[in-house]
Amino acid sequence: MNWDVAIGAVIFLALALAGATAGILLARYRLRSTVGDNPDEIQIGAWTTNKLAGSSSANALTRARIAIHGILAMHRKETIYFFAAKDDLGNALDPERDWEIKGGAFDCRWWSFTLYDEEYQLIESLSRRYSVHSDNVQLSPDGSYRIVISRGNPDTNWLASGMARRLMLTIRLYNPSQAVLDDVRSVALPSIRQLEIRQEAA
Amino acid sequence: MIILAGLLSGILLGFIAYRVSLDRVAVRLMDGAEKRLLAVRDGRLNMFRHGRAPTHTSRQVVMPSPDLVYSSCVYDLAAGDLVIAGEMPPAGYYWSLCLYAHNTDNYFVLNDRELPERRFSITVSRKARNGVIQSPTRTGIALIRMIQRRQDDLPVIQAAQQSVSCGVVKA
Repeated sequence: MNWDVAIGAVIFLALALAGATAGILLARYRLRSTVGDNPDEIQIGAWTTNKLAGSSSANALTRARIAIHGILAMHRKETIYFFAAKDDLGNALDPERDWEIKGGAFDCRWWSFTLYDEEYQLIESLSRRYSVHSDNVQLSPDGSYRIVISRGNPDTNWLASGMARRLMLTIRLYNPSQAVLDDVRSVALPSIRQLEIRQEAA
Repeated sequence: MIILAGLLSGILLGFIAYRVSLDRVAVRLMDGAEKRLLAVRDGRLNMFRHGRAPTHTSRQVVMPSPDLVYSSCVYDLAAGDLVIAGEMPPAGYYWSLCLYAHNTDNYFVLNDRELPERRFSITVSRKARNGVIQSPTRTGIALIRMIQRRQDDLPVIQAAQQSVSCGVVKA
């Protein structure tokens, strides 16, 4: 028995195995968050969009993440999605608190805001209205809107956080204009701030 | 020398393991989505299933749009080409037909604005041919989305749903 060869083989195998394990662990680690560390993604303030979601040129991380939190998402020509799990200051959207979204209309055929829970599912609400969109939104005279996320119903543009343990906010832009498709960074995205005073249930 | 070789193969295997792990997640979840969509009725392939607008109790897919009504057809091209045909709702309703490969890629999209008339018919095949859409994988999902703005829209949407078919024809 040649001990040099044996020790060499053991070292070789150990390093190869360590590499493979590191690869698997990195994949798992990156899939624990829905966004971040991905060149396909664009971060605009609190919002993230993936410029290659649904596309055959997407990287493996994009494909796996979309499969987890948005399987059967549409190609960006059809719909551009923006996600936010944090506010403008980087604080997680805690369902124990109330949040305010303020912004203006988008340059597309139709748009919507939808809130999802920790399992990326719709949240139960008495009103059975799960989204605020370009048809049901109440606009201010200047064309802007204010949407409130809260457990109780403030009786206006409202997204219910219900019994959710974690929140994920989504904007969908259906058939975005050519200007938006050409430069997604040109989209004026709304602000997300925590409300100091909780909304009273109506 | 051995250490260098070990390091290099470790790095290489690390890249491969990373990529394979991610690819497997996408395919595994697509398998799950196909199974859940098939389970809505009797599990038959190449047939449309028509849903209602998703609610908080829906569990077929993650992040469903509550304003869209979905019709899905899980397809398998083993026996031949797939013909998807039917009629869109009248003007003013957002309508789209998406095709998804087994790795989750949305390889084809058609919407109401791109169609010259309400009737449509497309053929999906494994092989590239003129006038035919080539599916990158043998199995996949065809998904039709229609917007539902209010409850009154339902009869129009359901009529459009009933008009569509998804069937295999011999290649």
